[in-house]
Amino acid sequence: MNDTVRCVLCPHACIIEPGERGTCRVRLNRGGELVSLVYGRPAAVSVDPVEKKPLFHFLPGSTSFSIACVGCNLGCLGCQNWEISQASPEDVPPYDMPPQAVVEEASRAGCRSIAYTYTEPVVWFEYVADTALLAREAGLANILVTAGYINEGPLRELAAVTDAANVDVKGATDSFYRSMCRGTLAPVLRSIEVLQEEGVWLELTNLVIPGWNDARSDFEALVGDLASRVGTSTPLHFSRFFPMYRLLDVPPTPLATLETARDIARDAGFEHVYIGNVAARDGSNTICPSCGTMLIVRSGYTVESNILVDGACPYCGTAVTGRWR
Amino acid sequence: MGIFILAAVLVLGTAGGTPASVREAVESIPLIGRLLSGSVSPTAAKAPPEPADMELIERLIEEGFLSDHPCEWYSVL
Repeated sequence: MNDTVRCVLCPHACIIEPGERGTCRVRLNRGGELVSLVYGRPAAVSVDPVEKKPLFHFLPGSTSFSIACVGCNLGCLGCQNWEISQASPEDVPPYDMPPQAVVEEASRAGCRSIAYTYTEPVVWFEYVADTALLAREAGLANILVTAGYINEGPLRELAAVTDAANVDVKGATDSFYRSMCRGTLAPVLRSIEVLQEEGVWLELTNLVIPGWNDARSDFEALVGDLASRVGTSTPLHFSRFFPMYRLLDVPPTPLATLETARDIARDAGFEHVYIGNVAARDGSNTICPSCGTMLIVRSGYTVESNILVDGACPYCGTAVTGRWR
Repeated sequence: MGIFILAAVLVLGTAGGTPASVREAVESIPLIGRLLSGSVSPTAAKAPPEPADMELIERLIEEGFLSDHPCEWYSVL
């Protein structure tokens, strides 16, 4: 035996020599012990509308205490939060905020949930798990905003203390994941199945990047795969790309492309399909899948009106999937 | 000659902004696909972080800017 370790948190399965760290940059082999450099040291702390995660069918109109540590186990060329996701922990001044302090601050701010978001919470696994447990005890919900690139064992452990998740399914093919994200597709698809099996409320996001994953065939493959795995009542969000990180030469996603994606998803049977990161008519409103009544009207991340009654349409009585209170 | 053609295909096929269909076609060529994707391990496709500056990290741990909280989900080889 020597002091080399193998991290089995995510599919990369990094073999890490003493003094080295995993591809996530935040898990360090310190003399044969793997340690988290970011536990209790978030680099970003904010109070957000839950709609910003985005979660549209989970406690609508509430606020979520949102935290992020540095680090990610993917390396998406168009990452929209690359300043912290692709940084090393020694490069970004952190807050000192142990789990109990997160819960206290969230309660003080009147939030109904804590969101582990902005970067990749999977790589700050221990911090999320400990905070989520305390949050549950304090009556707060836990939200994971993740790319889902994690092994099944640790994911099931996290899911046990997670109430809702938005998983960013970045593309429909393995080659896309390898070339754009430096990961693979299969673990992500397995993760969304596991989260649903574990009873976590699930919504899915697809960031649409011009020239990379915006062909009709991409959308058709994606929604077909998702429908067969988690069903068509799972809300889908197609999100607009803005030039970031290493894709500065790629233009923002045209609204028409997002509308095409929405049409294809609706044709595949998805009941709730949203368009995000853009001002689009009806792009973020929730509509009754049976009678077409506008149930929740949103402006940006703000809920303007919500006429759901006990999670159902007041006109036709159809139950709308979600966790509404 | 062959190596120049291969290099040209790699450059054209993987350039930013290249239509996805072109990239897919290039990557579907078995040899090039393996070269591009690092199919042995996805980790190979993501550049490892630079070696940690342990002197700096130990100092930042001592000063409380970084933590040294034990991780779960690993094994010693």
